[in-house]
Amino acid sequence: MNFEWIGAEDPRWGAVLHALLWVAILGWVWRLPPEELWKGAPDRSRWRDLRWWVVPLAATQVGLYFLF
Amino acid sequence: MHWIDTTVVVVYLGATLLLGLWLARRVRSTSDFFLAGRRLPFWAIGMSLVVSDIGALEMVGGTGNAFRYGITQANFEWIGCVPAMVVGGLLFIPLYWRLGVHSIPEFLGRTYGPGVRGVLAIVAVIFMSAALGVFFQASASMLEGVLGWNRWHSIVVTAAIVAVYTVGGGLGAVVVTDVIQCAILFVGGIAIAAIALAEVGGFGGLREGLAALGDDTQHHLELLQPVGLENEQGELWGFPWTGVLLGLGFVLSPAYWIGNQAIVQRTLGARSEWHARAAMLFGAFLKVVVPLAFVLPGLLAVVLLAERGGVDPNEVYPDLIGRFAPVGLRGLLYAAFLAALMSSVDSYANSAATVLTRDLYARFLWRRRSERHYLLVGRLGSLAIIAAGIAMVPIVDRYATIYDAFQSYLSFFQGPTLALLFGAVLWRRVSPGGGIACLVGGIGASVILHRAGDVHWLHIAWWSFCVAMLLLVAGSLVFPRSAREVEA
Repeated sequence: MNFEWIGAEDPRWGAVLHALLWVAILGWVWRLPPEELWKGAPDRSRWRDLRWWVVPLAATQVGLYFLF
Repeated sequence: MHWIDTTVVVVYLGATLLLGLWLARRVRSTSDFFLAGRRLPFWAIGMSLVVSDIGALEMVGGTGNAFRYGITQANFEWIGCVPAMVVGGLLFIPLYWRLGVHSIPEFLGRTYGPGVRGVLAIVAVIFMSAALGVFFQASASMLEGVLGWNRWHSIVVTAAIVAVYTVGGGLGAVVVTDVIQCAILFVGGIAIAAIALAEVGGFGGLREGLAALGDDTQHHLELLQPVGLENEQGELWGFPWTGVLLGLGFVLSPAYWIGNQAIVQRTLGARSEWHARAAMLFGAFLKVVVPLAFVLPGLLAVVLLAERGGVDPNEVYPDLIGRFAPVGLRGLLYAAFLAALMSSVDSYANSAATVLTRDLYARFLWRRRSERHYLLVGRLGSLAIIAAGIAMVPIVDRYATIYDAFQSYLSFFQGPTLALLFGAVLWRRVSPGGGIACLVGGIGASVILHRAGDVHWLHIAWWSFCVAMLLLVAGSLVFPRSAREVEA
C-alpha cells in the first residue's frame, strides 16, 4: 500500500512526471475556447488573457522541481 | 515584550476590529453575509485564498515540518496547490459560479440528491471544526512558547476577537481583513527568513551547514524524497515522492482547492466569472512565493539550532523570532501570527456557518423563512463553530505535529469528495445511490487504512480516492437514475 515496489526507483522520476502533468495542463488550457475565458472580463486587455497567466506558473514549477 | 512590539500588536488588533465592525454595517441579506454581495475583485479573493490557507499552520506546523523533513515541505505549496488552482480556476469554479450555488454540498446535492448533500454538509462542518481546533492549537503553541501566555486564555481571546468581526461582517469582512493580514504575513515572514539567511551566510552557508550535519539531513534539500524512509523507531518518515505525486498532487490538492467550502466560497463572491477564475490564478502566483516565508526559516533553523538537541519542531518558529527578530519586527511577526490565525479561523467559521445554514438548517429543518431569519442563524452558526473548534483542541493535542494532524483529517474526507466532484462534472450517469456508496465506502477505506497504522497518510488519500471512484461507478451502475433524471 506504500508503493514499496517502486521504492528502488530514483525520486527524480517524480520531477519528470510532474513536468508531464504541466505539459498536459498547458495543452488543455490553450485548447479552451478563448470566449469562455473572457466571460465577465471588464475589457479585453492583453494582460487579462488568463492563458498567459498559466505559462509562467508552469515554467516556474517545472524549473523548481528539476532544480531541487 | 517590548512596548513597541506591544503597540504594533495592539494597533493591528484594533484596526482589524474597527474595520470588521465598519464593514458589518453593509450586511443586510444572506447574500451580503455569505457571498459579500458578489462584489469582490480577483486580487482581494486571491490574497484571501492564500492567507486563509497558509494561516498559523504554515508558520508553526509548516516551519516545524521543514525543520524535520526539509524542503520537501514546500510540496504542500507547489505541487500541493498550483496545478489544482489552475485546473480549479479554469474548469470547476466557473461551473459553480454559473449555477449560483452557495456551497459545495449544494452543488453536489443537485447531482446526488439530498442524502449526499446532508452527509457532505455534516462532514464539512465536522472537518472545519477540526481544522479550527488545529488553528487554535497552533496559536496556543506559539503564544505559550514565546510570550508565556496561558494556552486556554490565548485561545479564548483570539476566538473572541475573530467572532466579533466574522459574526458582524460575514464574508466581506473576512476577505477585506484577509488582504491586510496577507500583506503583514508576507512582509513579516520574508523579513525573518532574510535575517536568518544572513545569519547562516546565505544559500551557500545553508547548503554547507546541512552537509556538515551528516546523514540526519541528507534529504533536506530534496523536494522529492525516496519511498520507505523510516526514523530511528522504524516508523514511516517524511513524504515519499509517490505520496507527494499521487496522494497530494492528484487527490488532496484538487479536493482542497476544488471541493473545500472555505476556499470555494470566496470565489463565489467574485464580481464576475472572470474575476472568479483570475482569483485562483493570482492566488497560485502567491503560492509559489510562500515557501520563502514559511519553509526556508525551518531549513535555516536546522543549521542555526544545530548545537541544541531535542528541539520541538513546533517551537522552531517561535524560537527564530525570539532569537533573531529585532524590536518592532518582533511585534510585526506576532501581529503576522495573529493575522494568520485569525484569517484561517474567520474563513472556516464563515464557511461552516454557510453550510450549517444553507445545507442543513434551511434544507432539512426550517425551510422558507425570511432573509433576516437565516442571517441570524448564519451569525449564531459562526459562533457555534468557533466554540466547537475550541472543543477540538484536546483531540488535536494527541498528534506529533500540528500540520500532520490537519493533513490526517483532510486525507479522510478529501478522496471521496474529489471522486464525487469528478463524477458530477465528468459523467452524466452518476446516481444518488453511487454517491452514497462512494462517500461511505471512501471514508470507510480511509479509516481502515488509518487504523492499520503502517500506510502513509498521503497514500491513504490516494487509495481512498481509488476506492471511492470504483464505488461511485459500481453504485451508479447498480442503482441507476432513470433516463428522465439523467436528462434533467
